[in-house]
Amino acid sequence: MDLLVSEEQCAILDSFTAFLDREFSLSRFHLQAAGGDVSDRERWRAMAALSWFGLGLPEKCFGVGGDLTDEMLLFRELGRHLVTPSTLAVVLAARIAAAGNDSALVEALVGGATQAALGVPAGTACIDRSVTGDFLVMDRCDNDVILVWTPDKAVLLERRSAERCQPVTCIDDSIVLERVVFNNATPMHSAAPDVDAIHLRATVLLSAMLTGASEATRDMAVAYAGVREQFGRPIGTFQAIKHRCADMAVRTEAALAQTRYAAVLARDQGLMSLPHVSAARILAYTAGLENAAANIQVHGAMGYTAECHAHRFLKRARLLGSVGGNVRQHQQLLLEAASEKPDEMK
Amino acid sequence: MNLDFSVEDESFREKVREWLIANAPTEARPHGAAMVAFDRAWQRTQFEAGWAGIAWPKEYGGRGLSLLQQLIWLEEYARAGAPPVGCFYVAVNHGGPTLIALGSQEQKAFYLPKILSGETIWCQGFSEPGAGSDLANLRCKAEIDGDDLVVNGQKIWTTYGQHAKYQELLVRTDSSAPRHKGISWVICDMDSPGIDIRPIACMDGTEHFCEVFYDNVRIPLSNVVGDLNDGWRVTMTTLGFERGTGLLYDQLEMSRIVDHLIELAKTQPGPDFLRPAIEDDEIAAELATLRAEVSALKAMSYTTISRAQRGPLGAEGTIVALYTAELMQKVYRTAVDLLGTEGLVLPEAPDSFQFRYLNSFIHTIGGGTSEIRRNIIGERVLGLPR
Repeated sequence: MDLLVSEEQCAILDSFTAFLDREFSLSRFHLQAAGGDVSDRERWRAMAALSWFGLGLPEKCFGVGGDLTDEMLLFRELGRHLVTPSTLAVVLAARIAAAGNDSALVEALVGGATQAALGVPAGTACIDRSVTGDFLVMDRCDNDVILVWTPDKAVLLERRSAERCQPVTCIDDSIVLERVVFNNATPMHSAAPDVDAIHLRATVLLSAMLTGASEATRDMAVAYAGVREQFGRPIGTFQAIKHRCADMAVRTEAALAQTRYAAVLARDQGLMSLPHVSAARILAYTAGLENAAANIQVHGAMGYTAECHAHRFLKRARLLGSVGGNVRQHQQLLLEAASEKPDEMK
Repeated sequence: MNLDFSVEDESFREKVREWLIANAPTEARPHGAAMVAFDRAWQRTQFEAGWAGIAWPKEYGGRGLSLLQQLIWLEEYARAGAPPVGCFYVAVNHGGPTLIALGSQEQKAFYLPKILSGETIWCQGFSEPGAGSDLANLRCKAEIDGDDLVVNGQKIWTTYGQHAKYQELLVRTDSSAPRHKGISWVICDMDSPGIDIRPIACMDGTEHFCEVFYDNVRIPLSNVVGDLNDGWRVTMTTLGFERGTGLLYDQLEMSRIVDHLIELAKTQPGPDFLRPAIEDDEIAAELATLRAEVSALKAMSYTTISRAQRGPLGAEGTIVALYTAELMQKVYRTAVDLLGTEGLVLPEAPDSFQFRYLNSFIHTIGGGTSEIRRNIIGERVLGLPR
């Protein structure tokens, strides 16, 4: 029993972190806003070249044969650096395409030639052999496939099968958002829940992104509280601030421990891990959102500015929290799972 | 990363499970007069079967279990519904290990065997009216007179002081030294002349702890553990034995209780008296969140044990301790909420949710207040300035 990373995983992780610190430092948002830097999407090829999109796929599917815990660790770092959620879309899309034996699409997705974007139902939608409904698509590119995933279904749709696409302004200005309408569109591929447990994997990876983001905001708040001085001392010496930071650490520790636990169980026990995966999702969203809010608070008025990065973590947490089922749906899954266990109270 | 146990560990688990199911008491742990006999009998049963002192080295009569085997024992212990450790907690988890680490040969030979067998209960004489969170502010004084220390002063919040034979007593033996440096850790025989023990009535209806007054109490110098005036270091040792397994019982118990509450909510009338409680959205959300949080507790324990397997633990254990304490309070509050007006009635059975709810208020106070814990997390885990 060991829930921490092995030395081998640690070395691989260090290489991921080195790349992300260099290519995806938060200062890129300033440069992007001023038109002086490439968007996350334009770093796509670089990420593909690192084999990130096929990390969890077997070698015969153009992957490197890692497992769900390796992917979870990667997505934790992607979340920490606010990398586009489209990375989650492409990893899941490649997996669905592989399950559908579409090796050309798998190769294109893993290699970076075809990109992918997350689609979220904006209200009730029919997602079955044909797809009808209104969706919000996040951070799209022109040659994207669109991945729609709910707790029950996961489908891949071609962009051109949409009836209508209308860009809208997102609360997160680093993300392009679109209203997309599908009307009896036929998916390229659908995931059968029992075949490849897409919902389980997707939820673990999403939880990892939210948890990584919650660690970034915890660290940002602590760093600030250690240097900002008022009344002749660092504000981190005041108990109210110190305790707010401690609460951030507690949220993160709970989310991270549960996400690790869920990743191992999902890898080893498949569908039986569902309650633990839902638990991770709930705790990770709470950590991601609450820590982002607390981080703004610790930064005072600075935290309220557009220039300070604190607001980005809040907005991204809300975006990620809307994907793959909302909190109420995950709570429902947790309660249903509980009722299957025999009552062991004496 | 894995959740696997070796073949040996799995067969150990089966052995443990079998023994616990056959031998653990099935009735609830009583309060009041019958409590000590209950705890003593269970300690004795474990001792006779070789299960007392699972974390103690074999040379001192313990089982010397590996960390993972301790985890397995505690999981099966909670699963079997075995009772909480009770009166023997301080002896088995603090006093004994402190002597093993820092006691003299004579002290080990005399005191250790009587602990595992259930013969001697120990209590902790640390806190005073003026020294709670600020323990170093203690003023209970000990002066050397020949071969003895003569103790005068007062302790408070001494759990099971009225039942204990021995006390880990912190006294000030050098008033001129800086606060942390003039303290000694001594073994006090609670039957000594001059000791006055007064139980304190608690909000949960029990007399869980005591005031203890010392009027010229003579304690042999040979009862000092470690060196004279070195008691602060000994105390840090006493409080530092946590290896990540200490809270497992409570955590697994919480898991069982939350599952039970979810079942209860399906039949218990909800706030509108028409539908079952589980159909009230707020109650459903609260129960689901509790279920997520108890899952995280187990995951955090496993993470702590994974860290302990790599080296000595730092202050991160404080995070888990804080989370456990606050979660216990939330769970029992939800339980009493679910009971509606029955939550106002205190049942006779000692183990009711009503009792546990009232009892739960101690968890964010005793053993480290949640405020101090947050300070420790902020300073020692996050590195914020003091």
